[in-house]
Amino acid sequence: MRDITKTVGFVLIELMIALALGLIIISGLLGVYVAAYQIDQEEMMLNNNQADADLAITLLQLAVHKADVVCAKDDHTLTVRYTQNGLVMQETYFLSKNSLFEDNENNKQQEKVRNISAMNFLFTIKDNSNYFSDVSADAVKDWSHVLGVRIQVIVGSKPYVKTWYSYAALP
Amino acid sequence: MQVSTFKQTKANTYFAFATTQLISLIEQLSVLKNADNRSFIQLWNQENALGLPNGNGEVIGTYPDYTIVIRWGSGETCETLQRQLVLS
Repeated sequence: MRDITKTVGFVLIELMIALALGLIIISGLLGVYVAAYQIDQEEMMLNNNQADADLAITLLQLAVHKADVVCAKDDHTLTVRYTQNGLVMQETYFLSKNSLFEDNENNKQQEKVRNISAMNFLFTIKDNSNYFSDVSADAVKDWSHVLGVRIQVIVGSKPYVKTWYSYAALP
Repeated sequence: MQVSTFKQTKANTYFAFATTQLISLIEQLSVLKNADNRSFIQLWNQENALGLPNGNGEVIGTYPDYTIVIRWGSGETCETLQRQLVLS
């Protein structure tokens, strides 16, 4: 005689256990994916910030290194004057909309580096008693006496912001 | 593997920061020559501390022969960047 009580397939409790186990595995995998995505994003931001900082600092250092004289209307702008083929040239570096711009002799503004949130300059001068100090632009009386430029560049946006420091000596 | 890559990226950033700091001080010492450089080195060391984990620097010697050392990190991840310099 056939056993009519024998079940074929899964009972409800088995299905519920399988469902619960499936959910635990999926939530675990999702957690791993989110963590990996966050690490990936942070790594990308770090790499981008470093590249942008390197570029901005190199650009400003090269500008100061070729300068006969530097000047600035405030602590966030830098103008360099240099001689090229007997002509006096001028370049101004300033920040606009989180980008470092160069304004050259032809009043042509070129975006040079993006992702720069702030840029500050101080100027090294020597007083009569042979003492060197860094002063802000408004304290410089004679720009021909400036010997070097202290550069501070803040790169990135929150929460991935890093301040980079540099210094460039005039030739 | 991803975590170790991320650690390497961070290590690279710190190394790039330390290199920038080293070049920055060389430029400053070339401007100062044999003048009093203590306040400049103090500020430079504040920057090292701000930008590097346990970052600190040391300038050994007198004008024109210097050795510049920057250290950062701790334990197994301790790093050192050193450069000898003769200013002309």
